[in-house]
Amino acid sequence: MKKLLLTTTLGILTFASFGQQKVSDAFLDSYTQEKSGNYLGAAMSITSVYNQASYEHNLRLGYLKYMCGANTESITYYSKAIELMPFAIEPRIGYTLPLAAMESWTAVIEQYTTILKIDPNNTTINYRLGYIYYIRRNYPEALKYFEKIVKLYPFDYHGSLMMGWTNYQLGKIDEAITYFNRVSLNSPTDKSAKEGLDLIKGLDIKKK
Amino acid sequence: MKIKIRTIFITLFIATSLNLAAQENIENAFEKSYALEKQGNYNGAINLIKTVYSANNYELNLRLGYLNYEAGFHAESMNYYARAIVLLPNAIEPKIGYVYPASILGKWDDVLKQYLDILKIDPQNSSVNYKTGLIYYNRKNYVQAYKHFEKVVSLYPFDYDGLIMFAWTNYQTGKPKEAKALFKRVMLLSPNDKSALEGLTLINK
Repeated sequence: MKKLLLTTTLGILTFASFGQQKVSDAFLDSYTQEKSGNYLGAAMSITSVYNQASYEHNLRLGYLKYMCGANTESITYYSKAIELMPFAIEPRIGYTLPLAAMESWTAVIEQYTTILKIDPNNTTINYRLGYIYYIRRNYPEALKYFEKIVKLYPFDYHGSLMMGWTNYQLGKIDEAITYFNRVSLNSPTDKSAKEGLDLIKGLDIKKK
Repeated sequence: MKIKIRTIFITLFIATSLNLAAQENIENAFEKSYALEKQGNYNGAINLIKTVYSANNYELNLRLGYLNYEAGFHAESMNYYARAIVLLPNAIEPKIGYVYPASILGKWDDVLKQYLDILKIDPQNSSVNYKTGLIYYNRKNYVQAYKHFEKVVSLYPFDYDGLIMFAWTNYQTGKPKEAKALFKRVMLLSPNDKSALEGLTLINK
């Protein structure tokens, strides 16, 4: 009985180890194919060992399918990875790539908002979310996100510039001037900051 | 009354003009300092910023912190960054700057303090959690290291740096089963990874 148990355990371990080796080989092969730009081949390597309960398999396939331009499939794999590790922001960031390619901006916003629930000060996500709201002319919402960036990184070019423009759009001229001036320190002769300051000067002339 | 209004108007006009002139001076100093920095002339860049220096100006202190660090004046760099931190205590930018000269000077307690302060403001900051974990790991404080690497891996489960350190920390805290699973995950990310292979060999012994 003991011998049978030992043989069975050994058999399972060997099988598991063999399985792990096969998966490692598939990943190695997929990296090699990816390097040569063969994303389809790279995805097929992973598909050959695919286990839907594996976070890594789903994450990798999400990325490779996105690189192949198969956006819907990419979304499916990233969704699965999110399901497996709901507190990870890595697959959520990946998920937004095919969504953005498909211009599903509402879904992108939803994902970014979820990421910020997990990682509220994520500068990249705060910037992107602010930018989407800015493009949608929802300046009060945009301001919330850009504000977070400049609070942590007051001398950051991108955050300061968008704070300049968002404040300008909201009619907060003094604040806009402060941020445009800060941008000018960071990036002297910056065209966008200069444009903002010129527009404000124009407002002053009109008033007079 | 008319004279009063006129006086107020003139005072405001002069104040605005002075502000504009000061802003212009600072802008010019920054612009020239970037040009000198590009040529590797950090001393020249520092001297230029000093001509318009005001202790209460965040940007000037931040810039001088950076330039002094680049010039190799680490103690001065720390002073300027410290000043920037006092001026904007909720910003993490000057705290990140501060750790560069502090670490060159081997002031690891100061570095750790800054990192912990950053994490009070931004608890999920992956880069800072990783660096904090690394300091604790090097001090063999694996329990503290574990907390920080766990945060990195929880947000980025397939990130190489976080994974490998979390694997080693699990190994050091006597969790070989968890360490093994993590080393294997590293092997997927970086096949034939030397550090992961070393960990697995140690566990299999």
